[in-house]
Amino acid sequence: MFKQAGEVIIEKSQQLSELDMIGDADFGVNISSGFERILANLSELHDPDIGSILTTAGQVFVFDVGSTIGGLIGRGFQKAGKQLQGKRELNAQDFAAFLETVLRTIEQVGGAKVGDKTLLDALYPAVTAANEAVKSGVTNARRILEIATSAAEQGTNNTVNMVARIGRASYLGERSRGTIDPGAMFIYIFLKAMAQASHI
Amino acid sequence: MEGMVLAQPQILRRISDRRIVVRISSPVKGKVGLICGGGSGHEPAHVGYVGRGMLDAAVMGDVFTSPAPGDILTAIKAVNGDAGILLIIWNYGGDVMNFTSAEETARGIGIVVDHVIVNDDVAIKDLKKRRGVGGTIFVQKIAGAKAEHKENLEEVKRIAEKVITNVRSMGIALTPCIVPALGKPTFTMGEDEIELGIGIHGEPGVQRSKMMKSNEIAEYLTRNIASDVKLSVGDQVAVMVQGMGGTSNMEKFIFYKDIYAQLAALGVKVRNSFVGEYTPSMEMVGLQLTVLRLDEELAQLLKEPTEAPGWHMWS
Repeated sequence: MFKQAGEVIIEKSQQLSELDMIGDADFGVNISSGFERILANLSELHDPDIGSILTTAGQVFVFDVGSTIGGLIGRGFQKAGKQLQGKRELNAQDFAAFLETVLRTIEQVGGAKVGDKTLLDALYPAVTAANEAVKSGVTNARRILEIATSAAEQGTNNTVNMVARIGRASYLGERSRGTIDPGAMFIYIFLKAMAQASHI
Repeated sequence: MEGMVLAQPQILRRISDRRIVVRISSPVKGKVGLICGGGSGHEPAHVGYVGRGMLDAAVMGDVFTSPAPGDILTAIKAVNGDAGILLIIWNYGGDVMNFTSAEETARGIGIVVDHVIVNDDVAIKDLKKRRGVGGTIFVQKIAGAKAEHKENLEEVKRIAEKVITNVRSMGIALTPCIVPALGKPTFTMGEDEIELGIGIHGEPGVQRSKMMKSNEIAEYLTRNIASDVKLSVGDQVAVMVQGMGGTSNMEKFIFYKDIYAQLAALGVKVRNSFVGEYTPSMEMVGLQLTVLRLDEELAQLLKEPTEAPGWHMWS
């Protein structure tokens, strides 16, 4: 499932770079090269569990890709990978917890807050929605993923009218209004790709 | 990177197929190891500044992309002469995150590492968010000279901080640039427009204006820099004029003439001048001005020789 999500990301990388034109336009190539290497590394692992997949992905992003998004998403995946060590399936709670771990790790490492116009503005609503769904009794992991994806989509669209307060777009002040944040779009695309893959 | 190393094989050595270049003489025992790095696209920065008198290693990422901590750690180990390492980090989220991450890991395995963060671009008012641009090269040169004297890490860091305190930059652009991976310009500009307060990563500036003449641009940039670093009558400075990658040399010298006049009107004396390309941004047409206020200590270290191939001084 991760593999399919990775392939979708690679396809969408040009779109992500275009969104990143507000800064230095390297976002898409960083993410897609990361996923290409992850897919290559994963194909060498023998029957990895979910924790190992995430840890491998995290390591590639942190150590090989570098960049800002690499460092953030990489650490998020590594932390989540440790938490999900040994698991072969994720239930609803696992999935919500996975998203929350990634969120908290990125908040800690990156220093951004909700409202700064970053990937957090898609990820935070996704986590909130996922947790609420679990609390209200949803037990199907796929459903949680769909709910999270929908919340991420909303969050991403909301970034259009925000002013960037961190990252390269923040140098522009008011001029950063009017475009979708590429980080938020990445979160949405990733969740959507996983949701699509989970139906296969 | 291959091209740069092939062009100077007596000094530069690349580490396998990673984007890391070190001095052939690395590690230099008993000397503080100096490392700088960041995204590619600003050549000669930073590979061109590797060599005796300046950096021990340069670690680069993809165009405009921060390098990975793994590579930075490799560089740290490669230039560790057992006198400590100083990382010169220019102030961008990714670079600060990745370089300090490598620093933490290196400390964890017993290597003494410290860092300084360069934030000289006055176009950004918030000091914490201020970009590191041309001034970074003066930090490398002066800290590099200090390190070459086999001074300790604390001393080398002190002098680096002193440069950071006294250097300011600001730039303008007439065109955007094309990031290779994207394949098209990062923003559009009209024929008669100028982008003020640009960075060096293809991002738009802080303000757009109608075309300005060289002396108007000189007045604008000098005023902003002088007020931020509080230049006063009698100050002596080093001036760096760069073209951002796409500007003709003739235009750089016309601009230099106007900068010189602006500084003279402020009662400021230019002691050293640098005209060329130091931290350009691909093929952007524009100008960047860096002014470093000198005292005797900084002036002496600035003048000391270096074999780094990218360093060029006009006077």
